[in-house]
Amino acid sequence: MFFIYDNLAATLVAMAVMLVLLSMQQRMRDVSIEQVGMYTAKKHSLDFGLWMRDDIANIGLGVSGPPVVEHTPHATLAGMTSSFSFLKKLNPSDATPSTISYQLEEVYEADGVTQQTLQVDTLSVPLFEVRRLVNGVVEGKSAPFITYFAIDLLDVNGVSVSGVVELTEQVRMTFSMGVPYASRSYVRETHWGATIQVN
Amino acid sequence: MPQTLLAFLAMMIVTLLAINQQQRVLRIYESMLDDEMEVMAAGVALQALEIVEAQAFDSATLGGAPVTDPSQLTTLPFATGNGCSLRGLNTLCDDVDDFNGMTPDTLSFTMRNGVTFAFEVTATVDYVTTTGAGVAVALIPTYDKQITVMLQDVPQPGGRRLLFNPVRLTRLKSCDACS
Repeated sequence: MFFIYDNLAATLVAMAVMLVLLSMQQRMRDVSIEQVGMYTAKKHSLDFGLWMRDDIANIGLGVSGPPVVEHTPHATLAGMTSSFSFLKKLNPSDATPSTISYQLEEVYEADGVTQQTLQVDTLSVPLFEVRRLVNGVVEGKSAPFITYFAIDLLDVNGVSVSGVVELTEQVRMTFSMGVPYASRSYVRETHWGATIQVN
Repeated sequence: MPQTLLAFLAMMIVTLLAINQQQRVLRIYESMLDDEMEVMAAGVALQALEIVEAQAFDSATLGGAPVTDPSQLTTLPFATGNGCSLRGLNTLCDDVDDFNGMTPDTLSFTMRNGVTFAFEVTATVDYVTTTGAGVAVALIPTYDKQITVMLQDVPQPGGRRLLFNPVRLTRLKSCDACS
């Protein structure tokens, strides 16, 4: 009887130890994935912020007269920008300036119908990507994890102006980027924002 | 009896491993928060840098006055402790070296959910030489200045900072009015 009891107790302890080890292993795997996702979001955010900054700082470069900037707010998502365009010469030798546009586009699941979403706290936030178009042709885009994108055109006093404006002194750009594989991540989004002086 | 001791030992080892792992997970989460803050700080630093860079190269070039020799520029060491503003008009600081060692100013970043994080911003300015292998700090006036903006988050209640180290962003500004 004692022999059976000893073996039973040993089996139970071994099973408990194995369960704890397995759960630790799984937890570390999840955290590692979160860490990689966070690094990806950080890298994408910094890259996207800096190349937009380089574009925006040169609004109207080589354009005679005031640079015309057009800004369209999103139809349904308050505070977000649907598109933003301006003129500038990409090369000093260009005969005419190019139209640079930034457009917010939905990101869809494989079925092409359902928009991808990210769970942030209790909210299901739709995912977007921002495309950069030069004269109507897509020449680049952000990572498809944008959850918020807003451009504010400001005058010299920092007051918002809207629609088609002839001259903008400063541009405030703000975006949030979701963390990939973030369904259970500790940090779900990164946030970037800056007010850029137009040269 | 030996079986009980072995079982006890096994449980102790597993408990120690679990505690270690939990501490490691906490450190990783703190590092992820630091990453999130760094992205915010990078945007704010860029904004601060834009404001400093928008000022005149030197008090000698204010109003577009031509400079024909570096000795006409502000001599070292630059003054420190100016109360420069990184948010609006700068009457006190109208050229870039006025921002050197400035009294820390506070810039905030507001997330779309309304949560605001404040950053203390300071700057250092140096004359640099850009010839040769790279950029080197110069001890005499030159036609290039290096602006470095440093940000550290304002401590949370309890004195804890979320950024492990200050974020630094550097840019060179050359003198347009110099020849």
